[in-house]
Amino acid sequence: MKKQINYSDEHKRFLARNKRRTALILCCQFGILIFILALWELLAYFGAINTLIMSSPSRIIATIGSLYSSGELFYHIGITLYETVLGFVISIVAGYLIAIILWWSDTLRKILDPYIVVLNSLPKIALGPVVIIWFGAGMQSIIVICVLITIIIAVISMLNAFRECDQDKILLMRSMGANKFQILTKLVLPASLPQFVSVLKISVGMSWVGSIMGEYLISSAGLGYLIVYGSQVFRLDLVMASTLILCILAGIMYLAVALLEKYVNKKRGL
Amino acid sequence: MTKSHLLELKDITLNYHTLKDETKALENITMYVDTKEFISIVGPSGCGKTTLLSIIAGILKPSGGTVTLNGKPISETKNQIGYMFQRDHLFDWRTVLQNIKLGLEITHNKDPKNNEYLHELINKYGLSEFIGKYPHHLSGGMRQRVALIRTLVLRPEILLLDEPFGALDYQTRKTVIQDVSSIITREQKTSILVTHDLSEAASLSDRIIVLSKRPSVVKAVFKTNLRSIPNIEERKRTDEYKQVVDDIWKELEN
Repeated sequence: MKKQINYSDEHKRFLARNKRRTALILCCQFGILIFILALWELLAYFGAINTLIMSSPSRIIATIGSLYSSGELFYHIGITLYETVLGFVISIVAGYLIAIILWWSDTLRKILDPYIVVLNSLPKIALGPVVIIWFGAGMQSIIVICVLITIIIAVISMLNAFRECDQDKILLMRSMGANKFQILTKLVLPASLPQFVSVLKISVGMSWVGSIMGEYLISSAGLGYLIVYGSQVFRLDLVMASTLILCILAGIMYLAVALLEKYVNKKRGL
Repeated sequence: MTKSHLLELKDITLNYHTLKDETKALENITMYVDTKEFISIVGPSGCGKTTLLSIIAGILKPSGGTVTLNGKPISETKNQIGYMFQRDHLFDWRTVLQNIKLGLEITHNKDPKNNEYLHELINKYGLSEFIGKYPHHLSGGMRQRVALIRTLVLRPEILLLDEPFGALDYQTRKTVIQDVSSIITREQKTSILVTHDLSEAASLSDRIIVLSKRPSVVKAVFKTNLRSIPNIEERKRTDEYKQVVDDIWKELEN
Protein backbone atom coordinates (compact mmCIF):
# COMPACT_ATOMS: atom_id res chain seq x y z
CA MET A 1 0.00 0.00 0.00
CA LYS A 2 1.29 3.45 -0.87
CA LYS A 3 2.25 5.48 2.17
CA GLN A 4 0.15 8.62 2.66
CA ILE A 5 2.31 11.68 3.25
CA ASN A 6 0.90 15.01 4.39
CA TYR A 7 2.73 17.61 2.35
CA SER A 8 2.60 21.34 2.99
CA ASP A 9 0.63 23.52 0.55
CA GLU A 10 3.88 24.93 -0.80
CA HIS A 11 5.21 21.43 -1.50
CA LYS A 12 1.89 20.44 -3.12
CA ARG A 13 2.18 23.47 -5.42
CA PHE A 14 5.77 22.50 -6.24
CA LEU A 15 4.68 18.94 -7.13
CA ALA A 16 1.79 20.22 -9.27
CA ARG A 17 4.15 22.62 -11.09
CA ASN A 18 6.56 19.80 -11.73
CA LYS A 19 3.78 17.54 -13.01
CA ARG A 20 2.54 20.26 -15.38
CA ARG A 21 6.07 20.80 -16.71
CA THR A 22 6.58 17.08 -17.36
CA ALA A 23 3.21 16.91 -19.15
CA LEU A 24 4.14 19.97 -21.25
CA ILE A 25 7.47 18.41 -22.29
CA LEU A 26 5.73 15.15 -23.26
CA CYS A 27 3.04 17.04 -25.21
CA CYS A 28 5.68 19.04 -27.07
CA GLN A 29 7.68 15.92 -27.88
CA PHE A 30 4.65 14.17 -29.37
CA GLY A 31 3.33 17.42 -30.82
CA ILE A 32 6.47 17.97 -32.92
CA LEU A 33 6.21 14.43 -34.31
CA ILE A 34 2.49 14.74 -35.08
CA PHE A 35 3.01 18.19 -36.65
CA ILE A 36 5.77 16.92 -38.97
CA LEU A 37 3.75 13.83 -39.96
CA ALA A 38 0.57 15.86 -40.56
CA LEU A 39 2.41 18.51 -42.57
CA TRP A 40 4.16 15.82 -44.61
CA GLU A 41 0.86 14.04 -45.28
CA LEU A 42 -0.93 17.26 -46.23
CA LEU A 43 1.84 18.39 -48.58
CA ALA A 44 1.76 14.97 -50.25
CA TYR A 45 -2.08 15.00 -50.42
CA PHE A 46 -2.22 18.40 -52.11
CA GLY A 47 0.65 17.52 -54.45
CA ALA A 48 3.05 20.11 -53.02
CA ILE A 49 5.77 17.47 -52.79
CA ASN A 50 6.62 14.63 -55.13
CA THR A 51 5.61 11.42 -53.32
CA LEU A 52 7.86 9.39 -55.58
CA ILE A 53 10.86 11.09 -53.99
CA MET A 54 9.47 12.08 -50.58
CA SER A 55 6.85 9.36 -49.97
CA SER A 56 4.22 10.13 -47.30
CA PRO A 57 3.20 8.77 -43.87
CA SER A 58 0.11 7.01 -45.28
CA ARG A 59 2.17 5.38 -48.04
CA ILE A 60 4.78 4.26 -45.47
CA ILE A 61 2.05 2.68 -43.31
CA ALA A 62 0.55 1.02 -46.39
CA THR A 63 3.98 -0.38 -47.31
CA ILE A 64 4.44 -1.77 -43.80
CA GLY A 65 0.94 -3.28 -44.09
CA SER A 66 1.73 -4.96 -47.40
CA LEU A 67 5.06 -6.25 -46.03
CA TYR A 68 3.13 -7.69 -43.10
CA SER A 69 0.46 -9.35 -45.24
CA SER A 70 3.05 -10.90 -47.55
CA GLY A 71 4.83 -12.31 -44.48
CA GLU A 72 8.04 -10.46 -45.34
CA LEU A 73 7.95 -7.94 -42.49
CA PHE A 74 8.93 -10.24 -39.62
CA TYR A 75 11.28 -12.23 -41.87
CA HIS A 76 13.40 -9.13 -42.63
CA ILE A 77 13.11 -7.79 -39.09
CA GLY A 78 14.12 -11.21 -37.73
CA ILE A 79 17.24 -11.37 -39.89
CA THR A 80 18.47 -7.87 -39.01
CA LEU A 81 17.58 -8.32 -35.36
CA TYR A 82 19.46 -11.63 -35.24
CA GLU A 83 22.59 -10.10 -36.81
CA THR A 84 22.44 -7.04 -34.58
CA VAL A 85 21.79 -8.87 -31.31
CA LEU A 86 24.43 -11.51 -32.05
CA GLY A 87 26.97 -8.85 -33.08
CA PHE A 88 26.10 -6.84 -29.96
CA VAL A 89 26.45 -9.82 -27.59
CA ILE A 90 29.74 -11.00 -29.14
CA SER A 91 31.14 -7.45 -29.01
CA ILE A 92 30.14 -6.90 -25.40
CA VAL A 93 31.34 -10.28 -24.10
CA ALA A 94 34.60 -10.27 -26.09
CA GLY A 95 35.16 -6.54 -25.50
CA TYR A 96 34.67 -6.97 -21.76
CA LEU A 97 37.09 -9.92 -21.62
CA ILE A 98 39.72 -8.12 -23.73
CA ALA A 99 39.43 -5.03 -21.50
CA ILE A 100 39.94 -7.23 -18.41
CA ILE A 101 43.04 -8.84 -19.96
CA LEU A 102 44.47 -5.43 -20.89
CA TRP A 103 43.76 -4.11 -17.38
CA TRP A 104 45.43 -7.17 -15.88
CA SER A 105 48.64 -6.82 -17.88
CA ASP A 106 49.91 -3.29 -18.16
CA THR A 107 52.76 -4.46 -20.40
CA LEU A 108 50.35 -6.11 -22.83
CA ARG A 109 48.20 -2.95 -22.81
CA LYS A 110 51.24 -0.84 -23.71
CA ILE A 111 52.27 -3.30 -26.46
CA LEU A 112 48.80 -3.32 -28.02
CA ASP A 113 48.08 0.38 -27.51
CA PRO A 114 49.14 1.56 -31.03
CA TYR A 115 47.12 -1.25 -32.66
CA ILE A 116 44.01 -0.30 -30.70
CA VAL A 117 44.47 3.37 -31.57
CA VAL A 118 44.83 2.57 -35.29
CA LEU A 119 41.86 0.17 -35.26
CA ASN A 120 39.77 2.79 -33.51
CA SER A 121 40.64 5.49 -36.06
CA LEU A 122 40.17 3.21 -39.08
CA PRO A 123 36.76 3.41 -40.77
CA LYS A 124 35.84 -0.23 -40.18
CA ILE A 125 33.72 -0.35 -43.30
CA ALA A 126 36.99 -0.19 -45.29
CA LEU A 127 37.60 -3.73 -44.08
CA GLY A 128 34.28 -4.84 -45.65
CA PRO A 129 35.74 -6.37 -48.86
CA VAL A 130 38.40 -8.25 -46.85
CA VAL A 131 35.76 -9.55 -44.46
CA ILE A 132 33.57 -10.73 -47.35
CA ILE A 133 36.51 -12.60 -48.94
CA TRP A 134 37.45 -14.20 -45.62
CA PHE A 135 34.01 -15.05 -44.25
CA GLY A 136 31.97 -15.38 -47.44
CA ALA A 137 29.12 -13.34 -48.85
CA GLY A 138 26.61 -14.20 -46.17
CA MET A 139 25.33 -13.46 -42.71
CA GLN A 140 28.67 -14.36 -41.09
CA SER A 141 30.37 -11.40 -42.78
CA ILE A 142 27.60 -9.05 -41.67
CA ILE A 143 28.00 -10.19 -38.06
CA VAL A 144 31.80 -9.79 -38.32
CA ILE A 145 31.39 -6.24 -39.66
CA CYS A 146 28.93 -5.52 -36.85
CA VAL A 147 31.45 -6.83 -34.28
CA LEU A 148 34.32 -4.87 -35.84
CA ILE A 149 32.36 -1.64 -35.62
CA THR A 150 31.17 -2.24 -32.05
CA ILE A 151 33.99 -4.00 -30.22
CA ILE A 152 36.78 -1.41 -30.34
CA ILE A 153 34.71 1.27 -28.65
CA ALA A 154 33.56 -1.31 -26.09
CA VAL A 155 37.17 -2.32 -25.32
CA ILE A 156 38.47 1.25 -25.08
CA SER A 157 35.56 2.49 -22.94
CA MET A 158 35.66 -0.47 -20.56
CA LEU A 159 39.44 -0.32 -20.20
CA ASN A 160 39.25 3.40 -19.38
CA ALA A 161 36.59 2.66 -16.78
CA PHE A 162 38.75 -0.07 -15.19
CA ARG A 163 41.81 2.17 -15.16
CA GLU A 164 39.89 5.05 -13.57
CA CYS A 165 39.21 2.92 -10.50
CA ASP A 166 40.18 4.78 -7.31
CA GLN A 167 43.83 3.95 -6.55
CA ASP A 168 43.31 4.49 -2.82
CA LYS A 169 40.59 1.86 -2.82
CA ILE A 170 43.00 -0.53 -4.52
CA LEU A 171 45.57 0.35 -1.85
CA LEU A 172 42.97 -0.33 0.84
CA MET A 173 42.27 -3.77 -0.61
CA ARG A 174 45.98 -4.52 -0.92
CA SER A 175 46.47 -3.53 2.72
CA MET A 176 43.84 -6.17 3.55
CA GLY A 177 45.87 -8.72 1.61
CA ALA A 178 43.74 -8.81 -1.55
CA ASN A 179 45.24 -10.41 -4.65
CA LYS A 180 44.74 -9.04 -8.16
CA PHE A 181 41.76 -11.31 -8.87
CA GLN A 182 40.01 -10.11 -5.70
CA ILE A 183 40.74 -6.48 -6.60
CA LEU A 184 39.20 -7.15 -10.02
CA THR A 185 36.08 -8.96 -8.85
CA LYS A 186 35.33 -7.09 -5.63
CA LEU A 187 36.33 -3.59 -6.67
CA VAL A 188 37.15 -2.87 -10.32
CA LEU A 189 34.22 -4.70 -11.93
CA PRO A 190 31.49 -3.54 -9.54
CA ALA A 191 32.87 0.01 -9.48
CA SER A 192 32.77 0.18 -13.28
CA LEU A 193 29.20 -1.11 -13.59
CA PRO A 194 27.71 2.34 -14.39
CA GLN A 195 30.28 2.77 -17.19
CA PHE A 196 29.47 -0.76 -18.39
CA VAL A 197 25.82 0.22 -18.78
CA SER A 198 26.94 3.34 -20.70
CA VAL A 199 29.02 1.11 -22.98
CA LEU A 200 25.91 -1.04 -23.55
CA LYS A 201 23.97 2.05 -24.57
CA ILE A 202 26.66 3.17 -27.03
CA SER A 203 27.09 -0.37 -28.34
CA VAL A 204 23.37 -0.74 -29.10
CA GLY A 205 23.65 2.07 -31.62
CA MET A 206 26.98 0.85 -32.98
CA SER A 207 25.59 -2.67 -33.51
CA TRP A 208 22.70 -1.31 -35.59
CA VAL A 209 25.18 0.72 -37.64
CA GLY A 210 27.29 -2.44 -38.08
CA SER A 211 24.50 -4.75 -39.18
CA ILE A 212 22.92 -2.23 -41.57
CA MET A 213 26.32 -1.35 -43.09
CA GLY A 214 26.97 -5.07 -43.49
CA GLU A 215 23.61 -5.55 -45.17
CA TYR A 216 24.36 -2.62 -47.50
CA LEU A 217 27.49 -4.45 -48.64
CA ILE A 218 26.17 -7.99 -48.91
CA SER A 219 22.76 -9.35 -48.20
CA SER A 220 19.63 -10.73 -49.73
CA ALA A 221 17.42 -10.10 -46.73
CA GLY A 222 17.07 -7.77 -43.76
CA LEU A 223 16.08 -4.16 -43.25
CA GLY A 224 19.38 -2.88 -44.68
CA TYR A 225 18.73 -4.95 -47.78
CA LEU A 226 15.22 -3.49 -48.08
CA ILE A 227 16.67 0.04 -47.87
CA VAL A 228 19.29 -0.68 -50.56
CA TYR A 229 16.76 -2.53 -52.74
CA GLY A 230 14.16 0.24 -52.30
CA SER A 231 16.63 2.93 -53.33
CA GLN A 232 17.76 0.92 -56.37
CA VAL A 233 14.22 0.43 -57.71
CA PHE A 234 13.19 3.93 -56.60
CA ARG A 235 10.65 2.71 -54.05
CA LEU A 236 11.09 5.39 -51.46
CA ASP A 237 8.08 4.03 -49.52
CA LEU A 238 10.06 0.88 -48.86
CA VAL A 239 13.18 2.84 -47.85
CA MET A 240 11.22 5.05 -45.46
CA ALA A 241 9.21 2.13 -44.04
CA SER A 242 12.39 0.14 -43.35
CA THR A 243 14.04 3.18 -41.75
CA LEU A 244 11.00 3.73 -39.54
CA ILE A 245 11.06 0.10 -38.40
CA LEU A 246 14.78 0.45 -37.67
CA CYS A 247 14.11 3.53 -35.54
CA ILE A 248 11.48 1.65 -33.55
CA LEU A 249 13.69 -1.43 -33.04
CA ALA A 250 16.75 0.64 -32.03
CA GLY A 251 14.53 2.55 -29.61
CA ILE A 252 13.21 -0.67 -28.06
CA MET A 253 16.74 -2.07 -27.66
CA TYR A 254 17.91 1.20 -26.07
CA LEU A 255 14.91 1.13 -23.76
CA ALA A 256 15.83 -2.41 -22.69
CA VAL A 257 19.32 -1.19 -21.74
CA ALA A 258 17.83 1.82 -19.93
CA LEU A 259 15.61 -0.58 -17.93
CA LEU A 260 18.69 -2.65 -17.12
CA GLU A 261 20.38 0.54 -15.89
CA LYS A 262 17.39 1.29 -13.68
CA TYR A 263 17.54 -2.25 -12.27
CA VAL A 264 21.30 -1.99 -11.63
CA ASN A 265 20.88 1.35 -9.84
CA LYS A 266 18.06 -0.08 -7.73
CA LYS A 267 20.26 -3.04 -6.80
CA ARG A 268 22.98 -0.62 -5.74
CA GLY A 269 20.56 1.31 -3.55
CA LEU A 270 20.67 4.43 -5.74
CA MET B 1 69.04 -8.44 26.84
CA THR B 2 67.43 -5.70 24.73
CA LYS B 3 63.70 -5.16 25.06
CA SER B 4 61.80 -6.34 21.97
CA HIS B 5 59.15 -4.03 20.57
CA LEU B 6 55.92 -4.84 18.76
CA LEU B 7 57.03 -3.01 15.61
CA GLU B 8 60.56 -2.06 14.73
CA LEU B 9 61.86 -0.07 11.78
CA LYS B 10 65.63 -0.13 11.29
CA ASP B 11 67.49 2.14 8.88
CA ILE B 12 64.57 2.41 6.46
CA THR B 13 65.60 4.06 3.23
CA LEU B 14 63.44 4.62 0.17
CA ASN B 15 64.39 5.95 -3.22
CA TYR B 16 61.91 6.81 -5.97
CA HIS B 17 63.04 6.16 -9.50
CA THR B 18 61.83 7.94 -12.61
CA LEU B 19 63.41 7.95 -16.08
CA LYS B 20 64.78 11.43 -15.42
CA ASP B 21 65.79 11.23 -11.80
CA GLU B 22 66.20 9.39 -8.54
CA THR B 23 64.65 10.92 -5.43
CA LYS B 24 65.61 9.97 -1.93
CA ALA B 25 62.35 9.99 0.07
CA LEU B 26 63.38 8.38 3.37
CA GLU B 27 66.82 8.07 4.87
CA ASN B 28 67.76 5.73 7.70
CA ILE B 29 64.48 5.95 9.57
CA THR B 30 64.71 4.02 12.80
CA MET B 31 61.77 3.86 15.18
CA TYR B 32 59.77 1.45 17.28
CA VAL B 33 56.22 1.04 18.51
CA ASP B 34 55.19 -0.84 21.64
CA THR B 35 51.95 -2.70 22.27
CA LYS B 36 48.91 -0.45 22.92
CA GLU B 37 50.92 2.66 22.15
CA PHE B 38 49.47 5.51 20.12
CA ILE B 39 52.16 7.09 17.97
CA SER B 40 51.79 10.12 15.74
CA ILE B 41 54.07 11.00 12.87
CA VAL B 42 54.21 14.65 11.87
CA GLY B 43 56.38 16.49 9.38
CA PRO B 44 56.34 18.94 6.49
CA SER B 45 54.16 18.24 3.44
CA GLY B 46 55.68 15.67 1.09
CA CYS B 47 58.22 14.46 3.64
CA GLY B 48 57.15 10.84 3.19
CA LYS B 49 54.80 10.22 6.12
CA THR B 50 52.30 8.26 4.02
CA THR B 51 55.16 6.46 2.27
CA LEU B 52 56.38 5.32 5.67
CA LEU B 53 52.91 3.96 6.50
CA SER B 54 52.84 2.08 3.17
CA ILE B 55 56.18 0.48 4.07
CA ILE B 56 54.88 -0.52 7.51
CA ALA B 57 51.73 -1.95 5.85
CA GLY B 58 53.94 -4.02 3.55
CA ILE B 59 52.43 -2.39 0.45
CA LEU B 60 55.70 -0.70 -0.48
CA LYS B 61 59.13 -2.32 -0.33
CA PRO B 62 61.88 -0.12 1.11
CA SER B 63 65.14 0.33 -0.79
CA GLY B 64 67.00 -0.56 2.39
CA GLY B 65 66.42 -1.44 6.04
CA THR B 66 64.07 -3.80 7.85
CA VAL B 67 60.56 -3.70 9.28
CA THR B 68 59.70 -6.34 11.85
CA LEU B 69 56.45 -7.10 13.62
CA ASN B 70 56.80 -9.25 16.73
CA GLY B 71 60.37 -9.94 15.59
CA LYS B 72 59.27 -11.27 12.17
CA PRO B 73 59.89 -9.44 8.89
CA ILE B 74 56.70 -7.64 7.85
CA SER B 75 56.59 -9.57 4.56
CA GLU B 76 56.14 -12.83 6.52
CA THR B 77 53.21 -11.54 8.60
CA LYS B 78 49.70 -11.64 7.21
CA ASN B 79 46.74 -9.35 7.88
CA GLN B 80 48.17 -7.97 11.07
CA ILE B 81 48.11 -4.38 9.93
CA GLY B 82 44.90 -2.40 9.51
CA TYR B 83 44.92 0.70 7.32
CA MET B 84 42.55 3.66 7.59
CA PHE B 85 42.72 6.40 4.98
CA GLN B 86 41.79 10.07 4.81
CA ARG B 87 38.62 9.16 2.95
CA ASP B 88 36.55 6.26 4.23
CA HIS B 89 36.62 4.45 0.86
CA LEU B 90 33.41 2.59 1.57
CA PHE B 91 32.17 0.79 -1.52
CA ASP B 92 28.98 2.53 -2.69
CA TRP B 93 27.42 -0.66 -4.02
CA ARG B 94 27.79 -2.52 -0.74
CA THR B 95 25.64 -2.10 2.34
CA VAL B 96 27.24 -1.18 5.67
CA LEU B 97 27.35 -4.85 6.66
CA GLN B 98 28.83 -5.91 3.32
CA ASN B 99 31.45 -3.15 3.61
CA ILE B 100 32.42 -4.28 7.09
CA LYS B 101 32.70 -7.87 5.84
CA LEU B 102 35.02 -6.92 2.95
CA GLY B 103 38.25 -7.76 4.77
CA LEU B 104 36.88 -11.06 6.05
CA GLU B 105 35.89 -12.01 2.48
CA ILE B 106 39.35 -11.13 1.19
CA THR B 107 41.10 -13.14 3.89
CA HIS B 108 38.55 -16.01 3.65
CA ASN B 109 37.83 -15.64 7.36
CA LYS B 110 34.05 -15.70 7.39
CA ASP B 111 33.85 -18.33 10.12
CA PRO B 112 31.25 -18.13 12.94
CA LYS B 113 33.81 -16.84 15.43
CA ASN B 114 34.69 -13.84 13.28
CA ASN B 115 31.06 -13.33 12.41
CA GLU B 116 30.22 -13.15 16.09
CA TYR B 117 33.03 -10.63 16.67
CA LEU B 118 31.77 -8.59 13.72
CA HIS B 119 28.27 -8.36 15.15
CA GLU B 120 29.69 -7.64 18.59
CA LEU B 121 31.54 -4.61 17.15
CA ILE B 122 28.49 -3.53 15.17
CA ASN B 123 26.30 -3.59 18.28
CA LYS B 124 28.92 -2.10 20.58
CA TYR B 125 29.50 0.88 18.33
CA GLY B 126 25.90 1.65 17.43
CA LEU B 127 25.83 0.47 13.84
CA SER B 128 23.18 -2.24 14.17
CA GLU B 129 20.35 -0.10 12.78
CA PHE B 130 22.45 0.91 9.77
CA ILE B 131 23.73 -2.48 8.58
CA GLY B 132 21.27 -2.66 5.67
CA LYS B 133 21.89 0.94 4.57
CA TYR B 134 24.18 2.05 1.77
CA PRO B 135 27.09 4.45 2.45
CA HIS B 136 25.33 7.41 0.82
CA HIS B 137 22.68 7.19 3.52
CA LEU B 138 25.27 7.82 6.25
CA SER B 139 26.79 11.01 7.64
CA GLY B 140 30.53 11.68 7.26
CA GLY B 141 31.20 10.72 10.87
CA MET B 142 29.19 7.52 10.64
CA ARG B 143 31.01 6.55 7.43
CA GLN B 144 34.39 6.91 9.21
CA ARG B 145 33.08 4.77 12.05
CA VAL B 146 32.08 2.06 9.56
CA ALA B 147 35.55 2.31 7.99
CA LEU B 148 37.15 1.86 11.42
CA ILE B 149 34.99 -1.16 12.26
CA ARG B 150 35.81 -2.63 8.81
CA THR B 151 39.47 -2.39 9.82
CA LEU B 152 39.03 -3.59 13.42
CA VAL B 153 37.06 -6.67 12.43
CA LEU B 154 40.26 -8.12 10.99
CA ARG B 155 41.80 -7.94 14.49
CA PRO B 156 44.94 -6.15 13.33
CA GLU B 157 47.91 -5.89 15.68
CA ILE B 158 48.52 -2.33 14.53
CA LEU B 159 46.19 0.32 13.12
CA LEU B 160 47.65 2.72 10.60
CA LEU B 161 45.69 5.96 10.41
CA ASP B 162 46.56 8.12 7.42
CA GLU B 163 44.99 11.49 8.23
CA PRO B 164 41.62 9.84 8.81
CA PHE B 165 40.01 13.08 9.98
CA GLY B 166 41.36 15.31 7.23
CA ALA B 167 38.31 15.17 4.97
CA LEU B 168 35.77 16.02 7.69
CA ASP B 169 34.26 19.39 8.54
CA TYR B 170 35.27 20.99 11.86
CA GLN B 171 32.23 19.93 13.89
CA THR B 172 32.20 16.33 12.63
CA ARG B 173 35.95 16.14 13.00
CA LYS B 174 35.79 16.95 16.71
CA THR B 175 33.19 14.25 17.31
CA VAL B 176 34.91 11.66 15.13
CA ILE B 177 38.33 12.19 16.77
CA GLN B 178 36.77 11.57 20.19
CA ASP B 179 34.86 8.60 18.81
CA VAL B 180 37.85 6.94 17.10
CA SER B 181 40.12 7.61 20.05
CA SER B 182 37.65 6.02 22.48
CA ILE B 183 37.17 2.97 20.25
CA ILE B 184 40.95 2.50 19.87
CA THR B 185 41.46 2.78 23.64
CA ARG B 186 38.56 0.42 24.34
CA GLU B 187 39.79 -2.15 21.83
CA GLN B 188 43.36 -1.67 23.15
CA LYS B 189 44.81 -1.24 19.68
CA THR B 190 48.31 -0.11 18.90
CA SER B 191 48.04 2.79 16.47
CA ILE B 192 50.19 4.95 14.25
CA LEU B 193 48.64 8.22 13.09
CA VAL B 194 49.99 10.35 10.28
CA THR B 195 48.77 13.93 10.48
CA HIS B 196 49.44 17.54 9.59
CA ASP B 197 47.48 18.68 12.60
CA LEU B 198 49.76 19.19 15.61
CA SER B 199 46.80 19.48 17.96
CA GLU B 200 45.55 16.05 16.84
CA ALA B 201 49.01 14.56 17.27
CA ALA B 202 49.58 16.06 20.73
CA SER B 203 46.12 15.27 22.10
CA LEU B 204 45.89 11.68 20.88
CA SER B 205 49.38 10.25 21.25
CA ASP B 206 51.75 8.68 23.72
CA ARG B 207 54.65 9.68 21.50
CA ILE B 208 55.00 12.06 18.56
CA ILE B 209 57.70 11.47 15.97
CA VAL B 210 58.78 14.52 13.99
CA LEU B 211 60.20 13.90 10.53
CA SER B 212 62.40 16.36 8.66
CA LYS B 213 61.77 17.50 5.09
CA ARG B 214 62.86 15.20 2.25
CA PRO B 215 64.97 13.08 2.47
CA SER B 216 63.22 12.37 5.75
CA VAL B 217 65.00 11.49 8.93
CA VAL B 218 63.62 11.27 12.45
CA LYS B 219 64.24 14.76 13.79
CA ALA B 220 62.77 14.48 17.28
CA VAL B 221 60.50 12.37 19.46
CA PHE B 222 58.16 13.82 22.11
CA LYS B 223 56.42 11.92 24.89
CA THR B 224 53.13 12.85 26.52
CA ASN B 225 51.03 11.45 29.34
CA LEU B 226 47.75 12.90 28.15
CA ARG B 227 46.01 9.66 27.20
CA SER B 228 45.05 9.03 30.81
CA ILE B 229 42.50 11.86 30.41
CA PRO B 230 39.50 10.35 28.58
CA ASN B 231 38.11 13.57 27.08
CA ILE B 232 40.18 15.02 24.26
CA GLU B 233 38.95 18.57 24.77
CA GLU B 234 40.05 18.33 28.41
CA ARG B 235 43.47 17.12 27.28
CA LYS B 236 43.78 20.25 25.18
CA ARG B 237 43.25 22.45 28.22
CA THR B 238 46.31 21.08 30.07
CA ASP B 239 49.69 22.82 30.24
CA GLU B 240 51.41 19.65 29.05
CA TYR B 241 49.42 19.72 25.81
CA LYS B 242 50.29 23.37 25.19
CA GLN B 243 53.95 22.71 25.90
CA VAL B 244 54.09 19.67 23.55
CA VAL B 245 52.39 21.55 20.69
CA ASP B 246 54.82 24.42 21.21
CA ASP B 247 57.85 22.08 21.21
CA ILE B 248 56.74 20.25 18.04
CA TRP B 249 56.06 23.56 16.31
CA LYS B 250 59.55 24.84 17.20
CA GLU B 251 61.08 21.61 15.93
CA LEU B 252 59.22 21.87 12.63
CA GLU B 253 60.22 25.49 12.20
CA ASN B 254 63.92 24.74 12.64
